[in-house]
Amino acid sequence: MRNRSVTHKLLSYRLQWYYELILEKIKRSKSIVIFFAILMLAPFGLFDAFLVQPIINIGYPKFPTFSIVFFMLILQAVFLFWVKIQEEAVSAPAVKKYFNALPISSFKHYLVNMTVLLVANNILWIPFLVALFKAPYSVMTDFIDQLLFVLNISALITSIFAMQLQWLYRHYYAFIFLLMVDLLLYVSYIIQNELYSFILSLSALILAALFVFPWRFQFAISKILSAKKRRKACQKSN
Amino acid sequence: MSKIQLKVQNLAKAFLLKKVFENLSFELTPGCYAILGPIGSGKSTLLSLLAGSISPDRGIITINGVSLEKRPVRAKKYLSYVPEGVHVYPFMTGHELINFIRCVKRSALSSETEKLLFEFGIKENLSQAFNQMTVETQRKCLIAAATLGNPDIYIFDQPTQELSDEAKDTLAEYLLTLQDKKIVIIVSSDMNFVNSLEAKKLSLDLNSLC
Repeated sequence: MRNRSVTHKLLSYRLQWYYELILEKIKRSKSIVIFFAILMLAPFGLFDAFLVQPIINIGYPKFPTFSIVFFMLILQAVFLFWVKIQEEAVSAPAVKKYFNALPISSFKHYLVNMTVLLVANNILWIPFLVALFKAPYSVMTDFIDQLLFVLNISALITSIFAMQLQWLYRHYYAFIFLLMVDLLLYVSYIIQNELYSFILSLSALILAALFVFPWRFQFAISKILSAKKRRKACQKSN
Repeated sequence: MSKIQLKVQNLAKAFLLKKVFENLSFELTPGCYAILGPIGSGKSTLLSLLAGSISPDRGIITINGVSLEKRPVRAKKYLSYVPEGVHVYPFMTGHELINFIRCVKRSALSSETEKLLFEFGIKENLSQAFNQMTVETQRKCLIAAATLGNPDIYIFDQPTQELSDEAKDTLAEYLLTLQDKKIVIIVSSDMNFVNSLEAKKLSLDLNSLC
């Protein structure tokens, strides 16, 4: 019970910190915020043209060319920029020095970071949701196409979220693996076989998800390795 | 009961191209230690590493035989850290901070903490948020919070900064009572305070602390 309350308290402080800092930033740069809001919500549809349509194209490309990968890279860059401009509010570096020295497990810190990041991304998820509703399901001939669309979008969202997390933790090496998600998705588009496409899209999603919970992944790997070592040691002693 | 001990082996830390420590090893037993060295020699970095606030590039830190890297939660339970400056959420009240640390360390409000809060004269200020307190009250609050959970190792970075002479005396008096039982590590530019503690002076450089 107490452990749970530590995480809850930590989360509530972090969310309050985020809210106060963002509010202050918005107040300071009010005109820029209003300009972007008008640009996005304008009737000539910048929101649709620059965000929703590219996402739909990534999920279900009519003509899969390598440009899809660039679309993905641009989206990922936008999300990374979004985190960069909010970094002080999201990761609260001003209090890290003190709170990191307290006996709180790194996994709890990680959960809190993840939740704050989800909250910080709120606005940017909207085009993804719109894309999910506006997707041309009627054009998608069978269930597999629809499934692939949802799978591709999920892999993209997961890879973006993983990239943001790894950026906050300064684990830049993870980007190499996460960029492989884009390549896996691209190969899944150009491949003709539906089963292979499905497997590739699913692997892209799993690869991205591994970097959302890297400790769990590392823990599992280290357990497997130590079990192997133990087995070898037993064999030697026998 | 395990022996109170802080052991550092082959510690290395670098920031970009600047090496702060290369192969630092030392062992501390109960007593008061003041770490000395020129500005930029890595005194505060060393304290942050010992407190587990930042991670070393290489090396092992063990607290009472528990590795700070492998079992950080257990190892951190043995120590309290007061960094330089105030790294607390500005909207947090003194009460909230103390309750949070009690919750984290699973400890009750000790008589030592109560006494220190009383002697610092900040009991009435605890209902204020940190951004409404004076810097001196903020520092006093952090120092009092460091006594929660009966830690074995106290790590203070510039503890007397912004403190009045009276508060410095109270702190020195308190730390003197700990000397035989606990490890107290201090980085302070206030040599009068260091001398009043009769602390062992350790000089820090790239490879040694002696």
